[in-house]
Amino acid sequence: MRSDPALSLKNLTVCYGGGCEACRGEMAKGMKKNRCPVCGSIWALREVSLSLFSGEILGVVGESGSGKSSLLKCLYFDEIPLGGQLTLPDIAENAFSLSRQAQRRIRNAHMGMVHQNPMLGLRMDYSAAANIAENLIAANCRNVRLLQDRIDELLDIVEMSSYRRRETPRHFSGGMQQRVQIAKAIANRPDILLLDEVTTGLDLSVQAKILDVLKKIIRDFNISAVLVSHDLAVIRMLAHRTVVMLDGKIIEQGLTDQVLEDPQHFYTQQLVHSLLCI
Amino acid sequence: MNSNYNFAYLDEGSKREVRRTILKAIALPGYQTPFGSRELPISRGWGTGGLQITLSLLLPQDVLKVIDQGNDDSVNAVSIKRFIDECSDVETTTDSTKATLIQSRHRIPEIPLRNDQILVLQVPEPEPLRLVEGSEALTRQMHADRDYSLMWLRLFEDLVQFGEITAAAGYPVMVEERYLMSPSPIPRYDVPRLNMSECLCLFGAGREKKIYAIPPYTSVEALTFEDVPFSIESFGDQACAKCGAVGVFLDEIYDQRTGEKYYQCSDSGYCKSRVENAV
Repeated sequence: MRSDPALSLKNLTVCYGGGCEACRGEMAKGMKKNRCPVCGSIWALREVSLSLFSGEILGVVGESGSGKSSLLKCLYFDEIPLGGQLTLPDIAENAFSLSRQAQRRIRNAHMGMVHQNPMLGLRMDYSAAANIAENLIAANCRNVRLLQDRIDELLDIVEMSSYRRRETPRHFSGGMQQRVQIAKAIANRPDILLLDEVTTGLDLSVQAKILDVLKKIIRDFNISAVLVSHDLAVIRMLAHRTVVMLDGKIIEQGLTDQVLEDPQHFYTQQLVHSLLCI
Repeated sequence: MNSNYNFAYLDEGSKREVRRTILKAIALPGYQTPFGSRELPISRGWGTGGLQITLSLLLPQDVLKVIDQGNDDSVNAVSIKRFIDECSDVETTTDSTKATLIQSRHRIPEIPLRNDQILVLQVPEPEPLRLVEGSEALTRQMHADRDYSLMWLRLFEDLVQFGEITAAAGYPVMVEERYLMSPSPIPRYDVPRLNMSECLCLFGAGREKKIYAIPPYTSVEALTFEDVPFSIESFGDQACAKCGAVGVFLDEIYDQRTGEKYYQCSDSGYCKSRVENAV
């Protein structure tokens, strides 16, 4: 692992609902819960800062509504944050303040995303091949031969038979859909992979296979990844470092083993304890 | 001319508004300019967009030609011609060379048009991206961002599923390397003829309330992959059964009695003039 950050995030703030006098500013930081008692706005992320280093897998854990998915959406430029600064290598400006076109270029060239719900990440009416080609086409590849070759290569990487390339993902199992999503996400050889609950809803044997594929890809292509999961076993297996989120804030972070073996915050202790109980 | 109508049916204010929209459309080649589409005594979807453009531009000295799928005598063409005749008395013709204003549906006349002519095409669906995106807000955003990757994806999907691009009529084109445009449901054969065309081409969609334009000498390129060239319909060495023309767009016709298949020029005016010249 190199020590230069693949991305650096500072004071990321996301509010759903616009906010009011009472919850803006200091109140937003000071509020215990992330829902404003006055206007009902949800402060999904409250001044979140983190760094992702090259070749590193950063695990993000927390309960539903803690802001994990909002964090990924912001990093993928799907969500416009209220404030914050995203620094990426070779980009002098704050990436959040760039134009939509520039953000799209960055996304196409440097990022890949695997959604929890394949319906969000795949076009169910298009073939698996076209789904995988989507990011390549978005990055201006206009050569069919090159597209076909790359699709074959990617299907091989995600251990999928190339004869299924013409089938639409709606006919695939959950595991196969995730494989297509992974192939699509890594099509442009991204530097950063954003993984949102990639194994949720899959049975254990399929989960293990998907995780093996992901681990291999991340290692072989030296990709940095942000891995959001409810499942501490998945985090333990893949993540080098882990941050724990609660009510839109990072409450604890450190090396994965350190966080899981010796949790400091009460909520993390509960989380780890609940895993042991299961 | 029925004197109860204003010249060319529409009131002068409406015509002015349509002409202003046309000017804006010419200034932004390929951009779909919204306009206040007027009620006409024909149904939406029967060429009201093209007709409003024609009526707004029509002058008493104009010579008008109206064609439908290349044919001067089809129901749609005859009805529109009769309506314009009733409210304007302008001269009509079937000869493309004599016409100053040509309203058409689904075809561009066979002979190359000149820069003193205007071609008006009727458009059922002006948005080329509608096939891949249902939301108007999102398609507008895509045009603003010049983000046409979904259309490319659609073409690629065709290649994956069928080994060729199946879009036959209304093949998507890039105008001046800026806007993706639907050239109206003209056959592929007509698409390259829009490129650097000498005449002004106007497109009107009455139901969708949009006008767009290709000014003379404008670049119009069909979307193609680097290694899959754009191809047009091919009729081999077939010739028109009436005039003997080859290398033109032909209609495939079956004789009802004998069942025999033969070909005939799609542009009936062009065919007629060739037959007359031969005689």
